[in-house]
Amino acid sequence: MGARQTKRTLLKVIILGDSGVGKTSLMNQYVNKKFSSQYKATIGADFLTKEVQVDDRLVTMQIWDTAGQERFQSLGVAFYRGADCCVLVYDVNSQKTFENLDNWRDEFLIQASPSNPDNFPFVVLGNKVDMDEGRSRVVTEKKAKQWCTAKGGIPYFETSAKEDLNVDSAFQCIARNALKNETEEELYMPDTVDMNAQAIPKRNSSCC
Amino acid sequence: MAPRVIRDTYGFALNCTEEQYITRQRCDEKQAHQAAKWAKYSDKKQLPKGEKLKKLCRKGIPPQCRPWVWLSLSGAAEKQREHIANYYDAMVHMGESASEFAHQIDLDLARTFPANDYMSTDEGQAALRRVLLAFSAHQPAVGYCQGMNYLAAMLLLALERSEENSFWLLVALIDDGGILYQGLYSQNLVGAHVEMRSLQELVDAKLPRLRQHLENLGCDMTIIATDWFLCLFSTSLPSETAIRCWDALLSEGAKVLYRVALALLKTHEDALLAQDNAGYVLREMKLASASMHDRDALLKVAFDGVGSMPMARIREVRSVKQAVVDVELARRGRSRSLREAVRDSERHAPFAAEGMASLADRIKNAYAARMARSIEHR
Repeated sequence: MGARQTKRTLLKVIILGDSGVGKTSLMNQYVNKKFSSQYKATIGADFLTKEVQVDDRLVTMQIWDTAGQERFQSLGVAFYRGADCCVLVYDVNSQKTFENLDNWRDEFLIQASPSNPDNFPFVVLGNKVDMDEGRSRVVTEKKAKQWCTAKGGIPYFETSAKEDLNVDSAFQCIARNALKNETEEELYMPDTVDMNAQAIPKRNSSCC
Repeated sequence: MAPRVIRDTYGFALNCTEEQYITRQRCDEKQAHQAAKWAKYSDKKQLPKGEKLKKLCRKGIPPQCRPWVWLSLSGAAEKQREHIANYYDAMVHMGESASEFAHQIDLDLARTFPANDYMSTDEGQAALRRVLLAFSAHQPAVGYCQGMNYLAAMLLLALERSEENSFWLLVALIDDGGILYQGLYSQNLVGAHVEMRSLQELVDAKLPRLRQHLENLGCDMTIIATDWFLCLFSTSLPSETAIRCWDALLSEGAKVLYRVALALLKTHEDALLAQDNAGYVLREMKLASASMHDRDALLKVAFDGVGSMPMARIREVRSVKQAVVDVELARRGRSRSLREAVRDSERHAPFAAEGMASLADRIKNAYAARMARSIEHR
């Protein structure tokens, strides 16, 4: 497995969620340490990269941002291919954006068709917690965590891209889970076949 | 040398190098020269005919002539004549009083060219809102699709901020039988799927080296060209370059989009071949497009450098792809309804749903496997 160390590790992360929940803002806050209410609506896709240290490894994270209007979901297959982690974002001030997480998750699994869908790493972000000092909030943390637990223990973060709240720690967790997935995908490669090997279901929530 | 910050004809801020600045000036001079050739048509507001028209449009319509030329070229003026006099106002009213698309439109207003002089104003956003609401009322089956915001905004900018003219141009572009391919913005973007696959086919035929490279990277045209076809290059190219493409698009039809797309890919082929990952291909393409200030050069490649591309060929390719996309989207729709039914039952009868859910998983996996196979075969 020595070859893996010499190869530059590139992690592909996809951010999904309804239009206007703050996908582009989260990505920009994390990568560029900037917030603007003036991002262009994303059509097709865009991405930013960031070098991250995960334990002793330096990896490049390629974070992909896509259009959020529902009708764009059908184009997903092109963008999701080869993803190592999928970030699902909703707006804590909008019930609808939370309910749609089911759809985004399903669509992702179908279109990305990861080799091990049951263990594919997702991370959920409830964004815009700063809005109106929390008074306009409609989705409770409890409700969101319940959903994450029901989906096999998805790590959950409450964030504000605007106030830079929890954004770094969320993406640290995303990087860690993506790296774990990438490594496991490589282990599935049958260059050495271990007849006794069994797929061990992994817990995603180790870092949070 | 430090880059210059300038504002272009349509109120976009641009950073350009000295070299790009000189290129832009050269293009502006050529444009002024073209203006003289349009003078006699402009006086009578009558378009030249046939080849002459096509040629003149390819060389660029003078900005001050665009309002009447575009309306008449695109069929927008004719559409307008076919409707009652205050049709636009009626549609605005209808859209404002009840549009299921108002929410999405409102979300996008401030996100449509936020750095543009006009589109960043309340006035500009209010105009954009009315045009989009009116269109969603006029064509409720399409409603509003992201991408149309950029079209409507460019139209407002190019048509001297006339909402009504922008509306009719949008109608001429998007209505069935209009300039753009049917269903481009429809509920599941079926037309966009067809256009992306058709473009792929043409790239495969015309740029074989690039085809092989992109295939190795798992980078298909959807990644590179979705916004080209949905925003008609307005979010990719400098505005004056994009508008030049629109001059030809309105005169010759959607095949111009294919020509420009192939020209962009061909011009930057070497740089794209040097990228070792789909993301970097996309980034290279975005950077390269954003600096295409030489509109004359780009259009020269588009019209003289990518070989023949008769509309009949594009129609043929599209009809083959349409059949494939129809089948895939229908399958997708069925699987989605099934999943939604499962979720509903989970909410209402959690225990009975367990069996359903595992059934749904099996179907889902089988579906995913089939999708993967169909991608491999493409």
